[in-house]
Amino acid sequence: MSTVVAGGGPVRSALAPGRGVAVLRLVRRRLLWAAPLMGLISLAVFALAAASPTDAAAAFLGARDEFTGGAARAGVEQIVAGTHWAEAWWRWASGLVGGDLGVSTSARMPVADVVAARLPWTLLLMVLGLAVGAAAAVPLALLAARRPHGLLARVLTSGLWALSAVPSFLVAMGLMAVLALALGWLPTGGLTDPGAPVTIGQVARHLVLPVLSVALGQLPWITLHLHRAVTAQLRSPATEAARLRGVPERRVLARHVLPTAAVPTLAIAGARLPEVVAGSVLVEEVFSWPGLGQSLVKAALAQDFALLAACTVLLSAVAVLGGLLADLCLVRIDPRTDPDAL
Amino acid sequence: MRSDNLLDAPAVELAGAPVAAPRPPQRIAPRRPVGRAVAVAGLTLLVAYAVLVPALLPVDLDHVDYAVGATGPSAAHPFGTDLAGRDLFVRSAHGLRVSLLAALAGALGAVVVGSLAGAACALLGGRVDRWGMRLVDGVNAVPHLLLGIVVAAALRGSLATIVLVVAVTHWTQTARLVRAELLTLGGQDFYRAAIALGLTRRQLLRHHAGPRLATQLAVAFGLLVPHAVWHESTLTFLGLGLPPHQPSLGALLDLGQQALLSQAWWTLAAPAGLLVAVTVCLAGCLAGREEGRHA
Repeated sequence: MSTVVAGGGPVRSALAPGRGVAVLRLVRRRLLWAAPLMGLISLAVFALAAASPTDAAAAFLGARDEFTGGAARAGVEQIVAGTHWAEAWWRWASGLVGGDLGVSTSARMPVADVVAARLPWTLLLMVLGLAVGAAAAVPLALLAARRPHGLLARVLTSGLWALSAVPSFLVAMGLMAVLALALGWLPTGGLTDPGAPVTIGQVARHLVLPVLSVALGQLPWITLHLHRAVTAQLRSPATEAARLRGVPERRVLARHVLPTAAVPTLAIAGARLPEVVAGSVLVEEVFSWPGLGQSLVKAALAQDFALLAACTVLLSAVAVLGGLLADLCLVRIDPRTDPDAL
Repeated sequence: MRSDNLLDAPAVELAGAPVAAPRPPQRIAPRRPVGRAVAVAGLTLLVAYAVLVPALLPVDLDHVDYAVGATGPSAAHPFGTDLAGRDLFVRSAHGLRVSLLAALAGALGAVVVGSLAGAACALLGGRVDRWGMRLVDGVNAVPHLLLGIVVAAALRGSLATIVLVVAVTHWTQTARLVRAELLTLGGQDFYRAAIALGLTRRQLLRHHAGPRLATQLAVAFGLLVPHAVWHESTLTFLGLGLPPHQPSLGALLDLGQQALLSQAWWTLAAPAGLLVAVTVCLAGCLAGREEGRHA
């Protein structure tokens, strides 16, 4: 990018020579770190399943347990007892390479089908929730930063700070109690009305409350960090110089203040993403949203370890890859970041 | 906004006077979020409620009386009764007590495990340190709730499981803290002088390392307690924590969510209010120390 805008934003030198290679190195390093981590997580699930005091044969049979008696049941018990958990993990991991994730006893279908049907809904909820939270944080932070010690800023920061201490499933239940049950404006849960086909209108109506819950869970930390950075940036010499040159206030905010102020927030976003994943698991459970988080809880309750392993690994991978994405955004927006140091 | 400031500044500087006064530092947390005194008073009140009510009002917790089922708050039942006619004022006190106990034990377990791991990394160094810190990074990258769900799924809900879950997911912060503190200490002159003077390990720990670590660990413990409360209530709410007949905040919230559909809002309001009050007061007592993390 060779066009140099007078006082242009930090985008200018983001693609300096050699930087692209460094970014690729960053991606490769992170992926090489993530792969063994996912292996370790699945290994831990299998080891814990083996350490579980419950009847392994019953867990293996699931709902079929009721109809399996006598010799058949004894055979299953023998096979289950004769398989070491490390061997079971190895079989599962080699099946994974071929796309075979095993069969879920709680959903009564192949795990791969469960994942394929549910992962998109989970990602939709997470991405929209985070986007709404971030979009709402920008005007709030700007508003509070206008007068950092004014009444509005103090009320806003105290309120957000208190909101951050409230567990996300309580926020979700509160929203449901008020907006769905008391006022009746929105449905209480599910993907569509019972029996209704999956259309955009239906899903959008059912999506409002879950997305709002995820967004409210993320709003406090984004706003508080952004508020601090914007407050500092609004009074920086660079901003004041831009104003002196007669740059319109709107452009000052959009090009000089916000990109710079977003840097510290983006820098910690990677560490916060596991929280987004955990929050969406709870929100899915409260609103019966047909995502991966809901089947994770179902699998845990039914001791369905094939599905549990797949859900845990996938949701962890979402958190890790999301962190990588946040760091890539950081590299793009802030030319001072060294991809090799991330 | 304050564009005049920039025009004035060079003139002042030329005159040899100090440049504009330094601006007050900006904070992320409000100066007095709830007011520390209010938070401490609230927490004292909550603990007194959790300890005194079960002691002074010995009621059979499992006594079911459908004649008074699902009645709203009244003089006889300040928090109302649940669908089975059990008094929520007493039940919530029991629940709060169980949740606080589980949280304290869990936070203590996390601090103990973290201290041992951090000390091992700092003192043994080399390969132990490298792999230990990699493990810390790995655990931090995974959502804590997922780890908790997996552990609770395998070991079935009980108080011991909750304590284990909190310890397994939260030892990493303390481990980092202890390791960093010990490494800094080891490089300082007074500490090296103490070693050179021939102080025994016990004396070093008692006079130098111990006091420094103690305050840090106390803060770490305090910051962990609200998270531990959150973990207990979340796992129990999902059906993976404490058994449903044992009143804990999570179990009461689960029942409350079911009762919500039959318009009995108070069954949710009592435990939810207590949970919010506890987490806000706990966080308020330690406000300004550090930003917390929920997952």
